[in-house]
Amino acid sequence: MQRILRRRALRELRSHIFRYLMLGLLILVSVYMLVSLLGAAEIIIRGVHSHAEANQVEDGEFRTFAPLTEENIQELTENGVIIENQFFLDFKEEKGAILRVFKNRENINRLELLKGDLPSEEQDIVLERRFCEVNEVETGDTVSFGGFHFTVTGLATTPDYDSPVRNMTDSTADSKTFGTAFVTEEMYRQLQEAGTAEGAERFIYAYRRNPEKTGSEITDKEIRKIIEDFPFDVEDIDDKWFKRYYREQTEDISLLLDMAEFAAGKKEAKELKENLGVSVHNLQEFVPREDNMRIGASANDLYISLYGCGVAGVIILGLFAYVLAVFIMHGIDEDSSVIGTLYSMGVTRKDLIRHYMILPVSVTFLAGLAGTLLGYTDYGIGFQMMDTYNYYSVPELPLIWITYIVVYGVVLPPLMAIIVNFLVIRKKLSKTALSLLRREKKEVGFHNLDLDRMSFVSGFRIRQTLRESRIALTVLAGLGISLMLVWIGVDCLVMCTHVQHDSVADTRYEYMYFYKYPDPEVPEGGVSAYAKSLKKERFGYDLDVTLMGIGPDNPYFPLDLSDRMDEVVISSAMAQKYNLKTGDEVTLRDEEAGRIYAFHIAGITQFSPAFYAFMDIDALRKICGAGKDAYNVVFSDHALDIKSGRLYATTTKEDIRKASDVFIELMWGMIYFMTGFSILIFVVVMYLMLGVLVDHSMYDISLMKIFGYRDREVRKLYLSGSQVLIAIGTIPMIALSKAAIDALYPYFVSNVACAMDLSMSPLVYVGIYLFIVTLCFIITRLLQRKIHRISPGEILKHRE
Amino acid sequence: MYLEVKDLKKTYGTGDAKTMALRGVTTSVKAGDLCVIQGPSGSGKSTFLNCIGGLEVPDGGSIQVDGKEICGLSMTQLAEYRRESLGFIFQFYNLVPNLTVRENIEVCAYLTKDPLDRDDLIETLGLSDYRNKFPSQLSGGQQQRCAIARALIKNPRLLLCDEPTGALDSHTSRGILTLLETVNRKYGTTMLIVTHNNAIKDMVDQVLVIRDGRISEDYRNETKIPAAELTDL
Repeated sequence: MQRILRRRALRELRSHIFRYLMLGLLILVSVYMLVSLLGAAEIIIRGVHSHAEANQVEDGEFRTFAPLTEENIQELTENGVIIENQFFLDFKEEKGAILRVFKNRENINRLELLKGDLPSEEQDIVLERRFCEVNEVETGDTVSFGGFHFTVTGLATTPDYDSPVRNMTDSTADSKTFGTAFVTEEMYRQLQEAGTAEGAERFIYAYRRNPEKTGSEITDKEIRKIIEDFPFDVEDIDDKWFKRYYREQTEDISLLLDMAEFAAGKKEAKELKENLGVSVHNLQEFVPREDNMRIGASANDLYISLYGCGVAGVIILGLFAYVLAVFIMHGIDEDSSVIGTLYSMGVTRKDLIRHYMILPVSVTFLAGLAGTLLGYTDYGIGFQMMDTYNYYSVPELPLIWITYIVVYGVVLPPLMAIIVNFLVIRKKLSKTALSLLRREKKEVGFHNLDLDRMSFVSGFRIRQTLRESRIALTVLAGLGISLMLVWIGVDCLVMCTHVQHDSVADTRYEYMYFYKYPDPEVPEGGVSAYAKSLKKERFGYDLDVTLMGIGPDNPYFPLDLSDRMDEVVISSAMAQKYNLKTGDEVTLRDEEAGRIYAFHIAGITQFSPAFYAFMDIDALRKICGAGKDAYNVVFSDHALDIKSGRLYATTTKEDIRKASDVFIELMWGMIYFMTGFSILIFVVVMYLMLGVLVDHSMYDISLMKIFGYRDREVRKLYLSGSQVLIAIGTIPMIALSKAAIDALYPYFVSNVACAMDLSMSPLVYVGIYLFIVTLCFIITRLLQRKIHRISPGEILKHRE
Repeated sequence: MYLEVKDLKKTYGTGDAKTMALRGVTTSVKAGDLCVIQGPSGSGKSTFLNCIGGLEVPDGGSIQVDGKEICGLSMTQLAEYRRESLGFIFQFYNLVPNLTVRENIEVCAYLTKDPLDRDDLIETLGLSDYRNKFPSQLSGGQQQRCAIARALIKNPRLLLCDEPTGALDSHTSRGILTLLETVNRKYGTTMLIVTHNNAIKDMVDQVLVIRDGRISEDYRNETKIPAAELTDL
């Protein structure tokens, strides 16, 4: 029996080859996309972590005012901590990009050489891969900076600059303007001595835990405590700007301290010194690996992709399985009397379920297998990995077979088909033999709807739509899924466009100078502010939030702030990212001091480039224990003459413009991809489902043709109802899918430090709506050909 | 003559599978006549009816309905012809399952600007109590009456009936035939009835017998009796 039924399945496939081919192709494309995205994500996550471990990625890093002494290093080593200095100097190379120069590393954050050799001669330099790609630098080329000329001997990546951002607070990496470089130790010394760097040398130490030394693993907190407790004398510091700053700060109180020491002793004098807010210890910044946005950023970016694709795949494949089930149900309706006859001859429901399963399972299995194989090529996973390669500084990772992804691609589609079809077919085949022989139809819920007062056409359409509501609902489900994919792309575009537009529009200053060692007086033409960098967690990611103390007359931030120490006005970027509103309480973490601050939000001000919490400058000074004229940020509308050695960083409006442009450039690929894929799903599902609707009504349509109905009238009766239902259903679908994606979107971009304004012009909604309705209109027009092909003679074949 | 058929030919298939369903049928039917077409299975009577109904395109010959040639018309023109002139009644009623009796009748009312009075027709066909019922809630006879009402609502000049009593018991068949007779008389509709039922020939004006694709008998029934008096149905 099964052999005969199998042959019949083959005939069914042949007679509806276009339908199965289209759906098969859609499943193939979907599995190909899912396997590509999942595979790329998994390979990058695994690869980045394993390469990072192989290259001895740091467990954390810290920055000090002055280099650690031999004793300091010894103490850390004895406590089970391996450290390596990773000091750097920033140089502007001849084309204007900043190159961050390190000496070659030996123990921690080692270079992964992708091409060429490590620097061995003085003039040798290894450059970071992305910088070379974007700036078209090859091995053998020459780069010049700081008065030196170098020959590029190699291209490399390092795990501590996986996201090659210049500052940890930067929201985007721009390899056109920033990259890392590695020279020999001797060359580094020469560069140091030349004094031609942009800004002061940074004393960064990377550390790794070494439990073998002590038998237990030291915590970050313990390492930090050890460093904070190191004896520290300002005289040990070479940095002339630091020394000058220190003198400027302590001139007035040094006499007081001397008197305190004379009167009360050394200990009391030290306490007084600490209370006065003058240098307490050598540690400037301490960043454990988990809080370092540069490390493993490429992998972190893909976890969402991993989870998102996993869930999206189940939903999409579930929809396709249901579309297949609709085909099968239609077939069962057609075969009703045959099935009745088979039942009466003793064939069991199990036999028939197995028979009707053959096609959906075969189609989904073959499409899944082909999609998986295609996904596992350079055009699949390889292509998807390009997004990461083109942004992050990751080493080249080979394609590896990941069992669960293969299972996902090959097994999930038929499994979904089995589950969905089993549930649907089983119910459909549970009728009695007699009921099937008589072709009895189950009355739908609205069967007895009284449409007496309606015109014939309207009443007919309503009856027809109710009769085929399953199909219209499947189209709407397909539309919902497609719209969700559209919104992922559109939200991304909207967010980036807002960032691009608002970041520039909201920035009233042209220059923002972050001081390391502020001048005694605010430079002429500048407006001072006092900033403190804190952390706030969002969906597992710690992002930087700047507590910005500003004066009442700040022309760049004209805010009406109270002098309270527990009240802030937050930037719109922060409000959107952390879903905060006026009247809420917000807590911010001071990592260095181990403190948590709580503030009442008095208002929200439009400022999208960064997460700022504004408060009165004097109130913030009090919180930080800073002097009454203390400042560390200066805003201005023109360039100021500030010695670079005093500065941490300078941010210009142009930098903000460039960063926001980079943002949108990065996202275009994803936007095109999501929109295209969603349109494909929608078009295919709608075409197939409305096609089934025509097939399902074939005899009725044939009858109508016998009566003399024209194709146009038939379409109006049989398809227009569904068209209207889709047109009406699209409105809530647009709203629901947008709400769903808006709710999910913060998770997708949880590690991206930027404003998240997802609002858009009503015209976008209208545009999308009109696009869908037009698409529906075109598809129903296309289906008119199918209607045209139905011969009036069909009804004559319909014999019981 | 309302219907004139000359040398009508129709072949199905090609090569060895070639079947000549009609081998040159020639006949004519007067306006307002009840005409029965009889013959064994596979004789070509349904093909003949379908050709007149514009559902099959003949290979040769001519069909003139009310003086208008329908052979050679395009599919669209044939649809217009069916729309304007024809009514169909099938053995298995072919009602639209998700429409009520009233709505099924309106399917054809919609096609004409000047339909018969729907309620009057429902009344005439004894369907008043079932107007809001769905086909699945009706008996075979009631369904066929609904199909007749549907066919008549647009007041067609020519009614083609393919085994209208084929699925009904004798009592119900008599009722249906009486109804057709009444309609024929009341509206002057020309009717062609394809049937296996030999008894029906006694109630009609003209009898056509088709064998092997040819007319074997074509005669007028001079001793017509009312349908209600038919026996052996």
